[in-house]
Amino acid sequence: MTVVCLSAFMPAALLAQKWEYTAAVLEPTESNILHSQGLLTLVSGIASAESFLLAKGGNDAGVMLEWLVDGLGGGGGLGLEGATIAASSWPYLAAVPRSKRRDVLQAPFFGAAAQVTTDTVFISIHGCIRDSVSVGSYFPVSNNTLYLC
Amino acid sequence: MEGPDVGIVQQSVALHFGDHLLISVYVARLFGTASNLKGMLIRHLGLHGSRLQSGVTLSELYSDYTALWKRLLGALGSKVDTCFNAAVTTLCELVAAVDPLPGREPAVQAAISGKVSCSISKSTTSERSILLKDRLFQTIFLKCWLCSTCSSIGP
Repeated sequence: MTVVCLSAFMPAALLAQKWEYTAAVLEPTESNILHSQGLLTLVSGIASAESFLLAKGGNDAGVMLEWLVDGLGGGGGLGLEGATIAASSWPYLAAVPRSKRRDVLQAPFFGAAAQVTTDTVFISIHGCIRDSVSVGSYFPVSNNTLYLC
Repeated sequence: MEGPDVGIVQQSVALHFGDHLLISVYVARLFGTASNLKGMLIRHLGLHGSRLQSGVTLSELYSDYTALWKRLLGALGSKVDTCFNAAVTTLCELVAAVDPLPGREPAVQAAISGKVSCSISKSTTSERSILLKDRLFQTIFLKCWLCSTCSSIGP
C-alpha cells in the first residue's frame, strides 16, 4: 500500500489567500476585485456543498464563516455583488439541523463575526493599525458598551 | 512566470472536465485551440488518456492525481487572472459535485486550509473500485432477474 502524505506539499490553500480578499479593499483594481470575487465564490461554494462539515465547528470553519459574514457586509471591495455571492450559501447552512450545529453556527458567533468585520473595514479604510485604543472607541457594540482593542 | 502557469491551466481544466464540450470551450477560450491536449497531459503528468474519459471528483483528484491537485491549489495563488479563474471554476465545480467516496472530507479540508491531519492511502482507489464492482454486480443481477422474469412470463 502506497501512503501519500499530502500535508507536505500543499503549496497554497483557500484560507492562505485571504489576504488577497482583504487587499482588494485598499486597492480596488480590476484584477484585485476579480481575485477577491473568485475567492469569495469558492468560500461560498464550499459552504453550500459542505455545510455539515462547517457546522462541525473548528478553527477553519470559524474563519470561513467569518469570511462569509464579511462578504455579506460587502467586504473585499465587492459590495452588492459580494453580498449576493455570500448570501447564496446561507440557506444550505441553515438547513443543517440545530442538533448538529456546534459553536460556530450559534447566535453569539454572528455578533462577533460582524464585529470583526466592522473593525477590519474601519482599519482598512483609515489605514491605521489595530493597536490604537482610539480605534475601538468609535465602535459601540450591540449591548451599548464600547469596543476596545 | 507565465509559462508554467499556462501549463497549470491546461492540466487542471482538462482533467476536471471529462466532458468534451466543456474541455473544448474552456481550452478554446484560453488558448484558441483544443488540439494536442491529450498528448500534453500524458507528457506532463504521465497519465493514461483512457483515465480521462469520465469526470474526476474531488476525492479522486486528492488521492490519485496528486500532481494535479498540487498544481490546482497552487493556481489559486497565481497572479495570472485566467489561471486563477480556471482554478476557482474548477474547484467550485469539483466541490459542487458531491461524491460519497471516503476521501471527500479530507479533500475539502485540504482545499480549505492545506492542513491535513492524517495521511491518505491509496486504499481510496480500491474502495472506489469495490463500489463500482458492486454497482456492476447489481446491474448484472438486475438484468438476469429481468431476463428470468421475461422468460417465465413468455411462452
